[in-house]
Amino acid sequence: MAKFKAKVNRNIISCRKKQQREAIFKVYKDVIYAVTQGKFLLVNVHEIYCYTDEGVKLAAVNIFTNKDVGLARQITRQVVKDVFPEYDKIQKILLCVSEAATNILKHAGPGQLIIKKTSDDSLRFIFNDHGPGIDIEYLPSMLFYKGFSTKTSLGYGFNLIYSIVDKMILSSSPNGTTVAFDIILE
Amino acid sequence: MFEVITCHNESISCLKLSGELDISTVEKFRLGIESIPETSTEVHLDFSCVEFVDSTSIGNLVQVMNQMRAQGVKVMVKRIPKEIYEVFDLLGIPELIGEEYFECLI
Ligand SMILES: Nc1ncnc2c1ncn2[C@@H]1O[C@H](COP(=O)(O)OP(=O)(O)OP(=O)(O)O)[C@@H](O)[C@H]1O
Ligand SMILES: [Mg+2]
Repeated sequence: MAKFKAKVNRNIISCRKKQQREAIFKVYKDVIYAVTQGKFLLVNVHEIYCYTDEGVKLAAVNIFTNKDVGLARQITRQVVKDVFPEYDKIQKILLCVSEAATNILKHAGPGQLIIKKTSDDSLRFIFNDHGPGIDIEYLPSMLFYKGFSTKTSLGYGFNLIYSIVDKMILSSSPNGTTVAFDIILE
Repeated sequence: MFEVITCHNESISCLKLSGELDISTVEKFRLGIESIPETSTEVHLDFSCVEFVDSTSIGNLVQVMNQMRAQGVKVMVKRIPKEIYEVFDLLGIPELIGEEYFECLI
């Protein structure tokens, strides 16, 4: 009986902890969404599919080695050229692709880039990995503070992407990370 | 493709970089830097043929510049194309290191 009670207690505690985590997540999500005026969306691992399933897939690139970062840029250049031949700010998009792909290699191990067309004038770049994930506590620093890094690098990548793209979506857990961003080509 | 062409004279070393600088070229850049003779007191990095930079390659450059400065070597980044300089600027690098060390291509 005592054993049973202890087990019930443990279950109640772990359930409370889960609720607490979810409540904290929701605060981060709402505050970041408001502060960025809807530009940065933090979603959980179930919600992310709403954003990754949307649109028509145009290309996929595996990010396995350092060389693949250049390949990802090359394929991005080709896709943008095919879809919007007269677009002239490609350099900024290539920078974002390079940053997100490099983050996968530096902080997560192998991953993948998928490029999708989500409307007549917008592309979505989706980066998936199965790395250790990003701690949401770090998010405010990563977004708003130039030079935040958990490693000895500059810590500018994430902030750079955020400052260039039109919308950014993040889902992260200890089983991996999805970073997606939208570029409106006009 | 990324290439480093070096030429050294008595006290000045020139490194002409060409191509795209990213995580895959950090090592090659380092090798180029290591080839600079100890007698050099000034290093010029010619960026006129650089086609791409990102936070990783700029982070690496900043590291190299700081190391060389600590050894009393003056490092200048010269002939930077406009769109490459824009990335330096986005990252606030000229302010960090000193604007006088960066020269744009005209
Ligand atoms: N895909 C990822 N998986 C796990 N952690 C990540 C991922 N992407 C980013 N991070 C974390 O976010 C931090 C900030 O990333 P950011 O790109 O801004 O800086 P950095 O990669 O450390 O340095 P830099 O991009 O300037 O070379 C990283 O230090 C890392 O801890
Ligand atoms: Mg980075």
